[in-house]
Amino acid sequence: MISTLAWRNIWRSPTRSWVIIGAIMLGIWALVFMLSFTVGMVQSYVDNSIENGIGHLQVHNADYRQEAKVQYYFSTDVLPLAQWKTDERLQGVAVRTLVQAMAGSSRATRGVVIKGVDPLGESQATPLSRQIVEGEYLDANKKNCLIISKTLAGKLKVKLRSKIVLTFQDLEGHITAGAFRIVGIFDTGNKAIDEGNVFVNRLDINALLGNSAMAHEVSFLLKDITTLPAMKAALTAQLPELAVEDYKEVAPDLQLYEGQIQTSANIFMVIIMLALLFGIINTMLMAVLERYRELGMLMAVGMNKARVFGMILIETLLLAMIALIPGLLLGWGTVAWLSTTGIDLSAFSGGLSQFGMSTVVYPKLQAALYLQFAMAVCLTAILGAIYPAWKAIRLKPVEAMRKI
Amino acid sequence: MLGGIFGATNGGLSSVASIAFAVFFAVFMQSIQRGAWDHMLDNVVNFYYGYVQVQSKDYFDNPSIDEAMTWNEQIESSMGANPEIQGVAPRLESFALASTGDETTGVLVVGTRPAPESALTHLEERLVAGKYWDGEDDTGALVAVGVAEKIGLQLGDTLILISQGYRGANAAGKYAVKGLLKFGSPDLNKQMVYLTFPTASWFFATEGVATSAAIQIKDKTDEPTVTQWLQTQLDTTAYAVIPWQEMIPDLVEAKMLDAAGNNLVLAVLYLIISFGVFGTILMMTRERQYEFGVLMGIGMQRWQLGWMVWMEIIFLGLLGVAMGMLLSFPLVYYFQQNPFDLSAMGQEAVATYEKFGMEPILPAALDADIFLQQAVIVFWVTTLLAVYPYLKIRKLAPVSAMRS
Repeated sequence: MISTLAWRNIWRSPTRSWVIIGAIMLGIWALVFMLSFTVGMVQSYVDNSIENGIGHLQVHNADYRQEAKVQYYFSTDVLPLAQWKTDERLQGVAVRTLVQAMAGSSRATRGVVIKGVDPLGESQATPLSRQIVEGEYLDANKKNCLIISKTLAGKLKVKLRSKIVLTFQDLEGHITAGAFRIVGIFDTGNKAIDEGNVFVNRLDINALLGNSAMAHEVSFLLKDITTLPAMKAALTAQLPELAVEDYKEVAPDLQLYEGQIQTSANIFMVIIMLALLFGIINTMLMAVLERYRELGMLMAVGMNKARVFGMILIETLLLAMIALIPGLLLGWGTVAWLSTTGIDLSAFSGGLSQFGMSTVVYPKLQAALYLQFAMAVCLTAILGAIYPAWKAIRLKPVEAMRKI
Repeated sequence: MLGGIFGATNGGLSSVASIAFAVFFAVFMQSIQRGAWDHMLDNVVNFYYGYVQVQSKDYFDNPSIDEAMTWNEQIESSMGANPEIQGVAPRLESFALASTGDETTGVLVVGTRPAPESALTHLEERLVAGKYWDGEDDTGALVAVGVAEKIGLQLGDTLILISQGYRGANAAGKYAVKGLLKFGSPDLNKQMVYLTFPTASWFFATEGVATSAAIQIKDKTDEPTVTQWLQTQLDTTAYAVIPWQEMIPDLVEAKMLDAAGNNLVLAVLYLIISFGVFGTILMMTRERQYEFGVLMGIGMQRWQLGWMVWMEIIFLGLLGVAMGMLLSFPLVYYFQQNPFDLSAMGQEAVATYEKFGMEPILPAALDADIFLQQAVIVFWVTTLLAVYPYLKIRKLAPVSAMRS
């Protein structure tokens, strides 16, 4: 009976009810949209980092992770490469030799990291071979070839077929240098990767360093991220001497970012719910104040305080529910639509690539968060109803009925 | 007049509160956002680039020492003619390999004049150990702590630099570490090595040239006029005058992107608040039909009535703005004086900020225009909402209104 009363009360002042319903709907939609956008951004950052070289798992000499010294290598003889090749779970395995060096052209010099890679493995584990914009990808059979990013090529004033001299310390600590010819120019769209790295054949750089069977890093790209824990355990068993880490350990910021999603969800939620709270209190207070006389009458004929309180509460909850369902549906629809078309942010491409994000963001949102928003709206409605309901039960029936 | 909006309902008060909340929140968020970015930009701009730089025309696209510009006392003193220009620090910079014993790393060697550099970027205050140069002839090197840590340098140790000098000359030299510098920006911390200008000229085998000159100006808002003045002073076929926005376009864009995200949140917040305020206006208009009828009956014009209601609503809005400002001012002031220290959030947070070249400190900016902006927004929102009662008043039939 109380719910019927509450329902009818809502429609006694339809315009006012629609205004608050509209506000709640808008709030929910905005919440879903903003958060799905954040999730999409974070996901693009995490995916980019994983794809562009970090991979899902990495293997290093344990000392190398403490300090990236060229001497902290491991022998590639311990790697069961043939076994990995047939492993169904692996998309690609990239074995790398990493050296800090100075890259000098005839015109300029820059500090870079040389990534000595196996062309085939690298192309399976990262999109590098597909990011060539000019010339061609590394060829395992060609000696001393190098690929460089468009950005770095511009800074060094070099072109395709130009020669670059790489100067670095070999394993003994002697300064050594090698001349490499540019066979390809790539563009990953990630500023940090583009500005700081050049890629060469691993065997070429190993020869200069003085050990043909060395590497500093193996990076694994999985077909399915759910196999990560099992794969990590298997690798740890296979390579007891080496440090096996997943992407969250390699790049702790990725973990922080993934954790950040919940934090931003909470912050957005609190802001919007607070804004809605004012509107709800306002509306319900008006609803109570204009019904003073009627409420007095109801109480005089024997409706007890708990029921009056309950009626106001249910009225508020119903208002929130009417807004909640279409609001969530609208938000869900928007996310579903944008998750296929994406939001084009190329106007900010420089700023995005600075942070290693792609220019098209595909919003998405975990189902659990929708539920969380629904609960937050209900909680807000209850909080918003308390003051008006308290105001209602405090009235004295006789005095209230005397009011105009 | 005020009786109107506060008398009939409690809605007025709750609207004021909701506007106050929106303003409070908007001011706080904008202040933190602007403060954090300004702090970061200041770190890179004010402490290194300077707000304006003079370079040779080709140096910007091709930052090689070979593109250095002719630089002498005469050019420098001619710039002193502009009272806005506080100081000029000519620099000679290029990348080099720095090593000590067995350790090597890539660094940016900067040759600069001790006195103007210190006046300009407060280099001397960045010393955490050792001493500043005694004069131009001092051959000691000032090394950033990140570089020192990486290659295990101590105060008094010998630093070996190897690079490519001017027009193909070989550059190599030994320098005693005279002081250690600590920068706010992690990027600078990891790569800076300072020499005096004459020492660097000797190292790079240059004479009478500089790669850039950082111009310090009294007030950063005067940057456009100083840039213009310099362009008229210098031979623009040989020199380029570059304002800071052009030197770090990606950061400027990233700031814009962040601001765009914040503006979206604020837009949603204000929209929801507007719904609440609209609800109040709706009720107020309905409750006062009788009063409006009477006022028109005794001879008030429709436009006068509309004007009165508009004033009431604007007053309501501005009261909310004032309250919001009063509440946010102490908080913003507090965080301007005592910035948020994110290192309390743990090592991962610090590492993440470092990765993006930021110091993990968030100060608030205390700027009058942020406060003013909210007042302007609320003014326009309430003006827009005041259209509704005006439309009602236009159609009001005095006699039937008084009968209702």
